Amino acid sequence: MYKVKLENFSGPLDLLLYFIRRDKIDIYDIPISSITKEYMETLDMLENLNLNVAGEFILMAATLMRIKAKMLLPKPEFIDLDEESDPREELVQQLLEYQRFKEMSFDLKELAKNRSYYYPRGIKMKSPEYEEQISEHLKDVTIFEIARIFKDAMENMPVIHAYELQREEINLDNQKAIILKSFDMQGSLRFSFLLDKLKSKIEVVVTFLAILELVRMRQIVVIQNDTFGEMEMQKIEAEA
Amino acid sequence: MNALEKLQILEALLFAAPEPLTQKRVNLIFQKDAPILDNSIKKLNAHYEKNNRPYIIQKIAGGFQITTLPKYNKWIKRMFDKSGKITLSTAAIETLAIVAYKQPINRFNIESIRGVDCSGVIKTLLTKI
Repeated sequence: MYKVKLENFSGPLDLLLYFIRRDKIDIYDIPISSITKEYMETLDMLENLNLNVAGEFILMAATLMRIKAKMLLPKPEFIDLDEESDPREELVQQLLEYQRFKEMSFDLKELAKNRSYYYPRGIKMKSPEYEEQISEHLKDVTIFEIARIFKDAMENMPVIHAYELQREEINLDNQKAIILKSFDMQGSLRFSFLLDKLKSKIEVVVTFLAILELVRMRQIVVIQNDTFGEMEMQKIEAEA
Repeated sequence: MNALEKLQILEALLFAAPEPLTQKRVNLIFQKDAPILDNSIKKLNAHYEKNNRPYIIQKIAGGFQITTLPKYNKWIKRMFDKSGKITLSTAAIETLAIVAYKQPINRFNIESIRGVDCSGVIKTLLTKI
């Protein structure tokens, strides 16, 4: 449905850099008009996913539009030296500095990875900190993707005619039991497979909550191999 | 105390040290005629390599630490039953990079570089370090 690949942007600067890299834009000569358009479209998309766009993204939108407006203004006849500077200058500097640290963070990540193969003495078998890290189980899934999949699920609900409606008893524990029962012999379960079985809006909502609850209770893990790809759940085997 | 004894003492210190061992620390422990860490570590590492020991002493955080060789990663990981290592998010690593290269730096300045609120990330980093 969406053509643009949404990565997990860590902020508005990250998003702008993504456009710049993707379109091989000269960072010193940013086409403000087209990049503003693209930026606004991405924000709209986030809003379509019912995500609250963070204030920082809106601030950047305002900055881009201010720059665009300034560039459209005719140049004054009497050129004041202070006024002559490019309206994009400040943003460019900000992007360059951010890019520098972004690159450094890749270096740090690489260093951390290399180091992780060497073990010092005294690592705790199971640190309490690790127990808290639920995010470990969701690390390859971004909030955008969860939101998008939820939205798809809502849109793909079959239309039920009024006379078909019936009171259904849906509760979290039942849905959890249904999810756990649906795993195949290898202990995995595709999200779409689960969706096919659901009939009502409330059922989808409760099932979604049940999945999150199971992740929290470390009974299952959610895996997603491609961006916007199928979500697959894996049962966590009870420790022997 | 001859050179070999000093080397043995150093090795024992490295083994027992809960954090990377610094030259400063070694000087305090030996009181006088402390061995030069850089040279001694080279000798110990050469000895490990020659005798096929599974260890290597590495320079880290201004000191030295005894670690296992990467080829044992697979096995040690199994012992720890999933990776017990701390993993950091992209936002956390970016923030860490800024702190590493710009320190001392305050939250406001980190935020103006990243263009986003960093209070949550900083809090997470502080609990992990």
